Amino acid sequence: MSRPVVPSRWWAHPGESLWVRMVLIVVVAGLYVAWIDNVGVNTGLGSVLMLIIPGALFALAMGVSYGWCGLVTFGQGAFFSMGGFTAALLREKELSPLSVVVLGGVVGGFAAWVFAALVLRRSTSLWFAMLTLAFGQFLFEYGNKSSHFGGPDGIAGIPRGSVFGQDLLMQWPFTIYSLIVATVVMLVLAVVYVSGFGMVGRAARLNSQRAEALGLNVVMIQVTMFGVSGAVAGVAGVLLAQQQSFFSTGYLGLQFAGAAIVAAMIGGVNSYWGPLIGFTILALAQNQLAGSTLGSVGWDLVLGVGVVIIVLLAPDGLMGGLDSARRSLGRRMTRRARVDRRRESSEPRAPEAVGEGS
Amino acid sequence: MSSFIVAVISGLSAGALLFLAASGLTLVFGVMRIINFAQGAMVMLGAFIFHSALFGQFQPTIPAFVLSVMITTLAMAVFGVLLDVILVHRLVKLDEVPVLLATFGLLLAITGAVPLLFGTLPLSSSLPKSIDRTVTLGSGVVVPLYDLILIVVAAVITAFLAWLLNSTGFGRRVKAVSDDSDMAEASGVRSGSIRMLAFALGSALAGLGGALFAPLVTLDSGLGAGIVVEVFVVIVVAGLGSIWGALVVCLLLSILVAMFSLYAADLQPYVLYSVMGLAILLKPGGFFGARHSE
Repeated sequence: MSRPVVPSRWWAHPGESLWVRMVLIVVVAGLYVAWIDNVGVNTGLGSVLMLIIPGALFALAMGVSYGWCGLVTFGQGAFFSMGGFTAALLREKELSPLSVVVLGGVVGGFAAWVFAALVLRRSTSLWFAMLTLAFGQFLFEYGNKSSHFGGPDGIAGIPRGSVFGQDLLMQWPFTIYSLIVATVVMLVLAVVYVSGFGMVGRAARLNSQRAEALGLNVVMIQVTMFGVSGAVAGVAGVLLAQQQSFFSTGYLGLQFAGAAIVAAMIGGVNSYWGPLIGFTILALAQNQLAGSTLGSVGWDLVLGVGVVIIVLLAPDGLMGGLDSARRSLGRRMTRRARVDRRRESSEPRAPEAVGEGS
Repeated sequence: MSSFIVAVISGLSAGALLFLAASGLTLVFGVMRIINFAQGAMVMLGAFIFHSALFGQFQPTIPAFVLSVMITTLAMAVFGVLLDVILVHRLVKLDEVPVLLATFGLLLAITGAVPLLFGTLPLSSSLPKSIDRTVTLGSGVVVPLYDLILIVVAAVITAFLAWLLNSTGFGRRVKAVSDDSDMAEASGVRSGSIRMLAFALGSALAGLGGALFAPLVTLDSGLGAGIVVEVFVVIVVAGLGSIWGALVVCLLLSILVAMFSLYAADLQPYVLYSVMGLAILLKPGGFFGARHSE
């Protein structure tokens, strides 16, 4: 991120300020509630919007891994599923759903941290990407063979429970609950993003050799950030398991992780909001195409062509495009302001000569 | 003892199929520095094209079978050229990770296009009647004839690749481009066309692998992702850029898997991943990796 000026005024670079970001998160969550309320929870679009919450969190986990520290992963479904199966295996214990969420996050985060620590100690991020794929596939085989995880049929009957006396069985309270969980996760991530740790993570992604030359321990940063990503994926998995009251090994596959990668890339992995926006766009697009062949059997074709186009034409995604547009607009405005100032300071002229600047 | 030999032969034949997929990937990496995530999907596409080329015959005659294999190989070579013209040549100047993502997109695109082109129903075909039998080699060693054919085909392909890369002008140009494409260009080698031909060759190898694989399985669009994982295991263990390393690893790994399915069938699905994990911990960059280690 080659930003030439250090932001001094929060309104000049609203994306940089932690407080603006936090207010935005809460406002977006509120707007989202209003949107779902308007659509209705049980209509077609409403149920898509419901699924957006865990899916968008999962896409965000993808963004944390790739955009925030440069580790591409095709096996993030593994940590998502660890969260989901945490909820599934604890279905008969009478636990508060919130403690299951925390537990799922811890399980996913710890597993991701251990995995990255083992792999990155000896190899580079390219091999890491391939190994995540094999790791997911390995767990898929294991989960399907082992009797604990319900095999290909999955585990049903995961309870939603109740929080602070509020029963979550109905869709509407559950939506609010998962939105609050997602908001908290995003607030925590906002702190991580603007922290020094978040910054060195992005430095590690942009140029790991230069970051290392500056004395940063790139591997340690990446391992820790991957742990954060795994924790977010785990939380997303728990939310999905609670929402569907069902979880299976299907989420370990390449297809599920692939959709999140595409979402993160469409929105822009560099940006904090990119993965969420990308996932929302994808989910709504799939909802639009749901009736057609392209939306059902051919959906992977849409995703795949999307990735190729993004990599070739807009590697920073939608948010990256907006950012550069805003910056070039900003430059033009700065130039104009400078011209105006020079005119003010020079001799007073006739009004017609001051006219419109270029 | 006889069951041991049978397992070795079935391992060798599985390794032969795996090598057809992995050699294309290694070749393309050597010349273009592109890890083709979509190689598995291209093998799958080859299998579907093979099935279409049979025009619905469930059990083809031998000439029809051979003709379909050749048509598939040719069609995939053409597909490789098209893909290079449209997409792949643009990837050469990108970094490794964006390339991996772009070819992953290609994998998704092919996986999504296959049900649109060939329908969503699983397809299957069988071997020609006279091939679909077993042969007896010595006492108690009974193996499917097709296993032996696969081993022979892979040996022929290996010899062909060795000849092509070591003893022809094309091979020398390929080497020049993969060592230093600027220098090769300055000496009058058209690196763009060499890359295109190499990609087409890799694609044709994937097609051949897919066609030979098709009679053994039921075809559905999920096949590609499974193949690509196995190919990745091979190149993680072997390292990138060495076709002969890939050959050795394909054969040894497949024999190992066959041994496990003989003596410890429960553990058989995990063999590949365990070997891959060990390889990363013991020898990151692969046992035969040339320039690309670390």
